[in-house]
Amino acid sequence: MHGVTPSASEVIFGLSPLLISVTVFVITYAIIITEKINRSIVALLGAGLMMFTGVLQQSEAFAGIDFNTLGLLTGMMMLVAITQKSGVFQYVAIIAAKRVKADPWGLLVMLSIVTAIFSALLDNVTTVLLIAPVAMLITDALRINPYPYLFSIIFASNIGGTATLIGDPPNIMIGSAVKLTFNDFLFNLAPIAVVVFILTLIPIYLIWGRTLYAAPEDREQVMAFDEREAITDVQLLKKSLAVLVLVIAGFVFSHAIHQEPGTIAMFGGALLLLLQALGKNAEEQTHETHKIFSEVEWITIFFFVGLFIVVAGIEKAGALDLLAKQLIEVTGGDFTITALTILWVSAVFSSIVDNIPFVATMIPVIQNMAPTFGADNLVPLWWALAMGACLGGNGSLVGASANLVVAGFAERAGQPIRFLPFMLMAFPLMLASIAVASLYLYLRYL
Amino acid sequence: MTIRTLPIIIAATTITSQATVLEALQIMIANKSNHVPVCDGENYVGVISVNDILQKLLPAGVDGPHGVPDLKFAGDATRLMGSHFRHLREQKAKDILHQAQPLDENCPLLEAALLLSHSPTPLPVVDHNGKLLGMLSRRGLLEYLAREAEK
Repeated sequence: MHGVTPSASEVIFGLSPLLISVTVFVITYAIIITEKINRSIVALLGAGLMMFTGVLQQSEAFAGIDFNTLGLLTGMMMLVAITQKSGVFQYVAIIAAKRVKADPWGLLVMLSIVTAIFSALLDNVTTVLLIAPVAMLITDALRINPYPYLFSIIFASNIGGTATLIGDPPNIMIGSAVKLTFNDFLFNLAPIAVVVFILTLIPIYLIWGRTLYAAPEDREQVMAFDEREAITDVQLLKKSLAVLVLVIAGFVFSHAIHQEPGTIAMFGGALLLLLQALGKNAEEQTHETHKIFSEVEWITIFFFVGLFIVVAGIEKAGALDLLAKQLIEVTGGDFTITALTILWVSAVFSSIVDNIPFVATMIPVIQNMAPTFGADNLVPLWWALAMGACLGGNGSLVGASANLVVAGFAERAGQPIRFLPFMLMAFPLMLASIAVASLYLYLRYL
Repeated sequence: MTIRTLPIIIAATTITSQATVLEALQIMIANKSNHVPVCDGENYVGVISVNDILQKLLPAGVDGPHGVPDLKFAGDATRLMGSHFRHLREQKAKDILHQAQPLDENCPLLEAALLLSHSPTPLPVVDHNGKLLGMLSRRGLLEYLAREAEK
């Protein structure tokens, strides 16, 4: 990782730092993949071993942690935890449904658009947590099969997340490590996200869309939904939307105001906590602030902390430099082949395993390619990594956390999404999106 | 003193696990009761309560930790609940019953009172073979205690 001050490792028993660090890395990642033990526990233990075995000193481990990523994630989680209580997400979903007169195919398109936009601006898991229940309620009222809707919501969330710096954790990590701005992501990834989104709707229409039908009486029932009733707290809504708009404006102008996204998001989170706390007594403030903090997904945050340290370990030992050289050797030092290889390998990996550890490892690997390609020429490789990691999440039910959240809802509602049937449809669709992304990458950057 | 020896266990109408939900509901309505025990032969299987039925009538997606928090916006939605009911009434008792942990006939009174205080429905009392002896309700228990206190 950046910022690691090199010092000679004093590894226990005089063993090779490379051997020890790679062993710790492989075991850590292997256990994470089995999902037998909570991933945050595994990552933290791996991080501890990097230090106890002498590969890293504590100061080096700390330098490996990207606090900008952590600040951005935590700040956005706080903002969303407060905003969602206002009912604004249900409000938007109901408006979207009524705008198309509760027509089943129109509803699918609208819910997908809403999911994609929210996923681009918030994290995907939160978005699907808020949209999936409303989608299921509406399809229930229309008496139609919710499966195509849930499927589309999964795809829309991963595609929407690709579009911005803050849409998906891989983008947050890449942006933070390489100093790519919100606008860089928006100008380079949003166009391809829009194209992939539209193209994805075509097979969904051909397979399900054409045959969706809802009785007029059932559609009237949905048209009778009163979206104004979904807003539970108007004051809170105003405050949280104002802060969200400020934070996003902060991202857009982050370059001009010389601030990192992590600072902006954290400051926004604290500001909204303040607005919420004003006029309340000490006890209420403690209670409410504690509640918001407890809604931050600490498992994800500590997972990141552990991973950053584990990756810092193999980085310091020189393993990632070796891997980068190997990769360049395989691709013959050809930039185009390297970029496309990163895209496709990232996509296939991310569809089967968590894309966060993959991206955490790939960032230093790509940084180590600077001597070959030149530090200023690496940008297309970052877009390849981002597109592969984010869109790859669509490949299977375990490809992204948001997918599992939707599956969890479906299961509870007695409409389980099975692993294989989902993959049979999703994996080819994901590959098609990567093919489109390859074309985009080639035409625009290579 | 165990609950078997006390005059507090009330015999109950039962249904089989193959009975329909509608039959279970009709029995509850006829008996002015909020639950009915389910038995196969003499053996206790579970309990169906009015709440087991009501929860199944709610729309998909509202249940669970992140469901829709508030349904005022959906209005009456009688068609929605009605369509769920028409589907539900034909289902078998075994598909919606909950397995209330039965009280053993030798359970001491205080323990029975504690378990009952945590249960949403009256609790079934079974013998060592799992045969249903009857139901122990809060009201039955309090009636007994009130009578005892008079003595």
